[in-house]
Formats: sequence, structure tokens, C-alpha cells
Amino acid sequence: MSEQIKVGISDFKITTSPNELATIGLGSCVGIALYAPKSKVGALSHIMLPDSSSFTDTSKWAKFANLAIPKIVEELREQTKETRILAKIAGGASMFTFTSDSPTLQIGSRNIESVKATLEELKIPILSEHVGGKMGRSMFVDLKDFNVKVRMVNREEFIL
Amino acid sequence: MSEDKSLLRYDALQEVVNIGGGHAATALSKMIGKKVEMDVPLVQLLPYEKVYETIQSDDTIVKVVLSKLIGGEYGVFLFVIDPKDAEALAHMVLPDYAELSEHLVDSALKELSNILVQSFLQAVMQLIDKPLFASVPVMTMDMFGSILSSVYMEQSQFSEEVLIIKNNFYSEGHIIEGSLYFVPKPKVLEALLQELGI
Repeated sequence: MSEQIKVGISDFKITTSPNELATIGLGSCVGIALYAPKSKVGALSHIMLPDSSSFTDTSKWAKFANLAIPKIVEELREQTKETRILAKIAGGASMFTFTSDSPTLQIGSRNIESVKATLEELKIPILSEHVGGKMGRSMFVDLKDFNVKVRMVNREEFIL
Repeated sequence: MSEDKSLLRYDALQEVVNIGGGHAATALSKMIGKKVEMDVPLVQLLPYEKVYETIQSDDTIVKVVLSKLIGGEYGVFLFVIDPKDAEALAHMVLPDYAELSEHLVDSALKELSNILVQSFLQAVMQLIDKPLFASVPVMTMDMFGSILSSVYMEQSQFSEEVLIIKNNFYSEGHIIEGSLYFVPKPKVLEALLQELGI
């Protein structure tokens, strides 16, 4: 029986095919789907912030891109003994834009940047992405084939 | 801080929101020519999960008007409403002959939200004897979860627990419902309470 496992904000989950992973309502947050293709084990992480360096309390490590991704990848590699892990990402929007806001201050774009840099450091290829813009997204990850659906309001579903 | 003191501060905050919300409800009622009722304001620290469980589910599609307080690091107001209720509200303020395009509904909604925010602020200004101004409103329609989490983060609220401050307004019994949230920047509420001498 396949089950849909929900991932909340600042959280992550790891599970195996035929289960599905889902996260609802990504705004400036980024959803990172990670997949070990041979064993069909995958993870979905819903990060909130780009990096932990300016925070003293990092006990909730799953909310920071720079801490969450390496830890989850390590766990995936350990569980599956696979070194080749794949990624698909979505999110990092800027829901409201004021003309006075400078883009460098926008959390969404900083989140995307940090997620990409962290994945690159870990040598994990991003197979596809749907990031930026002004709209919220929900992500549904099918672990049978690593098919990732991105749902938005008033837009057609996008397959990553 | 002693428990008594923190309880007092919480009560004071709720009272400020109650006064602001009351003003806003009166202004809204004048605009739509109908009675507007209000719940006791909600002031509560909640994890996101609980917010989505008890207030509004994260995948609910809502229209949201955002007004930013300007002239300092204060925070933003959000007026959150179901798209159908937004249309009903727009009907109340626009003449009968007007053909209601989405654009017209949205612009009426922005104006109504602006009035709510301005009258809320007016009441607070009288309490603290300080001028407060809000920006021109901007609107979007999206999932409640995407909007709420992004707005808290934009206001530098990075915890997984957020302080929800909101007034619920109703008209026509409970048929039309809208909520006005205030999302503060860090330390804004402390400063407000200090102004009030608490």
C-alpha cells in the first residue's frame, strides 16, 4: 500500500517506494527532493532559511539549507549505500514585491542560491527545478520513479 | 519576567488589538452599509503546524491584501479572505450596474482592506500618541501556507512558532468572513507595551 507522507515547514522525511512525499504551501521556502535511484529511497526537505551562520541556536537544523541538506544526504547514503543521489527542487518565491525591496534582501532567492550551492558542494545533480516567481507551490514526490509534481494556484501542474 | 507581568502584557496586547479591531469594524460597517461583527481577538504563540490545523489549512486558496507600516521597522497587516467572500464584499460597495470583473473585485478589496488598516492604526495612534502610516496595499491570491510563512520570514520572524495576532470580522451572520492579521517585526510589541507604560 502506498502512503502519502507530509512534510511540514522546517522539517524533512525519508521513506521508500511506493510511498509518496508531499509538502504544501512553499512560498519563499524551498522544497528539496532527494532520491537514491537503485533502492528507490527518497527524502523531502522543506527548508526555511539559507544558512545558519548568523544564528546562535541551530538545534532545529532542518530549517537551514546549509545544515539540512548535508545531514539528509548522509542519512540517505548510509541507509541505501548508494553514493549517487539525485535532486529536484521547487520554491523560493517572493510572494509580495514592493518596488522598494532590493532583490538581494529577498529570502526566496537567497534560499535558492544556498540550496544550489550546498547541492553542488555535495556533487548532487539537480535534474530539474521550478523556482522563483511570485507564486506558492506544493510538491508531490513519487518514489517509484522520482516523478515530482509541482502544484500552483491558477496554473497548470508542472512535472519536474 | 514574572508570570503575572507576562499575563498583564498579553492582556494589554489583546486589548490594543480589540480597540484597533473595533475601530476597523465600525469603519467597514459604514462602507458596506451593513452590520459587522467581530470575535475576541486572537493573540497566541503557535507552531505553524497548529496554525494550519486550527486557523486555516495551508492549502486553502485565499485572497490576501498586504499593507506595510512605513517610517520604521514595524511590520505588516494582512487582510485574508476567501475569494468568494471577497466577491460578495465587492458587491456591497460597488454600484449594482457595475460588471464585476476580477480586477474590479480586487481593487474594491484593496480599498476595503486599506480602510480596515487605516482605522485600526488610527485607534492605536490615539493610544500611543505617535503617528503611524501604512503603505499602499498590494494583493495576491495563493495558498494560505505559502503566504503566511513567507510574510513572517520577510518580517524577520524565523522561528517555527509564530505569534498570531488577528481579528475576525463577520457580516450577514457568519456568511462573509475576513481576518486582519498583524505580523510584527522583532521587538515591535515590546516597544508598543513600553509606550503604554506596561
